Amino acid sequence: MLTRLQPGQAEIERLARRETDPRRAASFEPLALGPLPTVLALAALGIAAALVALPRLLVRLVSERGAR
Amino acid sequence: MIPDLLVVGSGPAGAQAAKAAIDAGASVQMLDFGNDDPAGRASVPDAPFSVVRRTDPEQARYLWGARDVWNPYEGNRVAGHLTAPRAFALADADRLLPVASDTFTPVRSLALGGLGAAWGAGTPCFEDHELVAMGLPVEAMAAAYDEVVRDIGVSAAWDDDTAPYVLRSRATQPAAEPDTNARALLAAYARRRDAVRAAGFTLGRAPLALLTQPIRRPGCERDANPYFDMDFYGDARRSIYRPRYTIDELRAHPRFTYTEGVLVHAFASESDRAVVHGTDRRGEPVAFAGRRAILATGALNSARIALRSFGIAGERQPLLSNEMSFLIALNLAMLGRTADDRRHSLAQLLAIYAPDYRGGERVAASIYSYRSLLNVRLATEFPMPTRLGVPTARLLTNALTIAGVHHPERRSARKWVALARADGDLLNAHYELDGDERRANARDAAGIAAVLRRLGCVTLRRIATPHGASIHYAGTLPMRAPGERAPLQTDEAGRIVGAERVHVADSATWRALPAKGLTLTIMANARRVARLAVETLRAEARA
Repeated sequence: MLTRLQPGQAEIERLARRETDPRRAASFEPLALGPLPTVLALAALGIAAALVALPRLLVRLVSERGAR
Repeated sequence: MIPDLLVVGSGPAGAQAAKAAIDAGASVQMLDFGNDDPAGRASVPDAPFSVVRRTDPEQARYLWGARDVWNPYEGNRVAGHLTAPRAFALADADRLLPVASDTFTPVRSLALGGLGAAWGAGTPCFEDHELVAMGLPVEAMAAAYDEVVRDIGVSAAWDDDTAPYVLRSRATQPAAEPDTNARALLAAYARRRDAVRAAGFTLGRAPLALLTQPIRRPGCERDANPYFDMDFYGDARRSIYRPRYTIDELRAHPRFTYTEGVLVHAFASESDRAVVHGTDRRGEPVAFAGRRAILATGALNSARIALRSFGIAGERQPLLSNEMSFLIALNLAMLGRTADDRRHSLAQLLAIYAPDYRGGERVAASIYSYRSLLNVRLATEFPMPTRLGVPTARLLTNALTIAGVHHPERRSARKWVALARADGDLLNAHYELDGDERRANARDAAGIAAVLRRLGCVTLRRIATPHGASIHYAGTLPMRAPGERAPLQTDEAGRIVGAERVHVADSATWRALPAKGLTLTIMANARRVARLAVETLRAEARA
């Protein structure tokens, strides 16, 4: 399940090209927001990732149950 | 007129063997395949990473490359730090130095400078008891370490707790400046020093072949590292030692010849000379003669060449290789904090872990911070879409702490190499750990992770690498000793038993392999072996 959320080689290449475009450099640089805002931001990203994963997980569970 | 010495290979061992032989008054012909990428090197600007990232429209060529070597999704993490300008270090090796194995993934090189062309520049020395276990003479090695440290330039911190474990020569330069993350870790270590030392853990700045002061001598102009954080890509100032700098220095010497484009397959030790047989880049046979020959092609290739020279197929030579794993951690003291732009990219710190259950053996962990390998490598590791992975990586970069853990090695019948056919180059290899070794390695990693937690880090993952990923190989032509049963053995001078005129200057002769980085010891031993070869030539001349 988690593996399916990770990008393939084409996606990695696309991202690398974007990152190495000097006009976009700033949007890939390390962020230093302070400890508390960083923890909150990470928590929000974690929740967002879980929400993205949830529908796929549900579809998989339903289809596996259906297959039985 | 034939040269005194043929030196086969231009890596750390070959370069230092040649240098020692020239210094001792001998004539040397170096035989090397010699792949190189000067254009790739020249394409990398001599500027800080942060400046390059914001200004250079051509940066993708060297920061990413046409085909990045590192692809985590193929399950192969060997040579993960090999960036595009250093990819030449592995060119042709799979094809021309074939190894067949389901269990061992060795890295080999046909580059000018060998694997030293992409080396991480860690330069710990081995302790007396480690040298004795390896079969190396302590006094001669101490002198050789001193020569190498002066020659290549090593920066180190004598006041760190790790010094007794990793430093010997006082010829070192001042230590490199630690980056922000390393300073925070050192501060945490200072606060909990007694407790973590009681657990067998010491932490210090990594000894590195990185100049903090320039070196100027005839044929050698090298500058101090500028802390540009571009060290995985280029080094216009030659601040990090590469064996080709020694080759460049030697090329100006009238008694040194460098012959490139030669792939050596075998040797013959005759009554008054050694003859080395190989092929050129077109596959045509070539042969060279010298009064003696020194193999410095790396533990795997030296075994291949020796086995083929004796026509021994199917018989097993021992194989030593340190197991390696990575601990990925977050230093909470750095979460949300800014980090200095000024830094080098190599290992910032070195931890030596000597737990009771290892009985005096050391576990070594090189500790890195993260930035110049690009956000994309990190962002695509998280189990989330890249649009979430990119900001996550940005938030974590300054706190990311990566420990590359090397585990002690134990010789066993389940770790071996053998030539597949007497007239071919294919080497079969097998590497398998027993349950005790696996458990001890897991315990090492757990112990280091526990100390990192006490230093304020959260360990995210332990990544096991394939056998061979450490690029630490040794023991394939072991020095003879009571009970040694390898078909091919060497003596204390590195001579192959049965081939009086052929010496081995790389780690193939070692009977043991400590977990610390081995390259400085390879170089020191190569100097020792070369000097012994020259002394033997002089004795022959007198006789």
